[in-house]
Amino acid sequence: MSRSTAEPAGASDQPLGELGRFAEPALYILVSLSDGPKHGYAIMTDVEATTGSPMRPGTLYGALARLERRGLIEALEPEDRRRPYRLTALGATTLQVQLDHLRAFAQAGLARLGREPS
Amino acid sequence: MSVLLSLYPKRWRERYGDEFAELLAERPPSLRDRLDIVAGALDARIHPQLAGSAARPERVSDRFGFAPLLGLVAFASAVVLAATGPVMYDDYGSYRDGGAALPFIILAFVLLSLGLYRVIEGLPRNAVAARAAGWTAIVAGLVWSPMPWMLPIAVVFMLGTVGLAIGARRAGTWPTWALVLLVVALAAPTALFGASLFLPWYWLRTSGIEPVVFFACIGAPWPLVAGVLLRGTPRPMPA
Repeated sequence: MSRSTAEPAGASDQPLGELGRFAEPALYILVSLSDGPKHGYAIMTDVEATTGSPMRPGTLYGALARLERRGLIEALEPEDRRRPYRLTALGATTLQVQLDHLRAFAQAGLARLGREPS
Repeated sequence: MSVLLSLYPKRWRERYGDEFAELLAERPPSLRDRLDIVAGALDARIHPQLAGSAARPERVSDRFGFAPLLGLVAFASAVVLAATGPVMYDDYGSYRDGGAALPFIILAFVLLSLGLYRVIEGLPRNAVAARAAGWTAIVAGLVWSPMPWMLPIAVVFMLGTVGLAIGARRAGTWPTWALVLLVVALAAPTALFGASLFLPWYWLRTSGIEPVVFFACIGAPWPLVAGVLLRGTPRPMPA
């Protein structure tokens, strides 16, 4: 769902798809941070527990840097050498929009299969 | 570890180096992790994200913000025309005939409505209350513009605008300073016009209060909506 730069500067203009190969890891990170701040290792273990797939360090920090750059997450004060991250208001809104899109997509797919979503 | 870290650009290491090293200490990297780190370092060099506290997210403005800006000119023209209109007399005293201002004030509200619509579009789907407030402000503004003497409609317009701004603030698309300015600017006219619900319609004219000042306060949404849209919110850079 691409938009031109003339579109309003709102949360729905933050398609994670523009993050390329980091879009999916970025979504996982946003979901992981949605229940509270976490540092890198906690995000990795949480994503692995949630998705069943490991998130590797290079991918994690490539996605973290992009999310922070776009103001979707923010870093907190370091605890020892570990730095927690948390969702910003814009990040929470963007996550909500992304999840709404995924839900609509899933419902459309299930409807085509003749299986109404539960 | 230091070899893997050294593959990253210096600025990246300054920002993420400590926590990245700590992460690798907590979870020693496998061969696939090492390959991923090499790819990550290459990506950090090709697509630097300028990470760090000094980096500011890129903002892309919404050119539709020029609509309320033009609306502000129309609104200011309307206020000037209304304040300098011919003096008329009736049973309740004298007043300025602001009929010449009507086309300008209607135009001002049409242009503001465009801006408000863009703010509504930027809200998440579940921001039902804020969307309703925004549409209320648009409808009330458009209804009020050809009959500015109907002050109760002005109250609805102003409350709707504030409701939309609060929702947009929660969504992260309306800065706090703009919300504060909006509330401060609209507080007095909202209270005044709200009082008109319980007082005779000619109360404002006979109160000794200069109506132009309060109508000028109602102009706050125009520059603020324009400012919010033209300022933009953080947008992705092409990766």
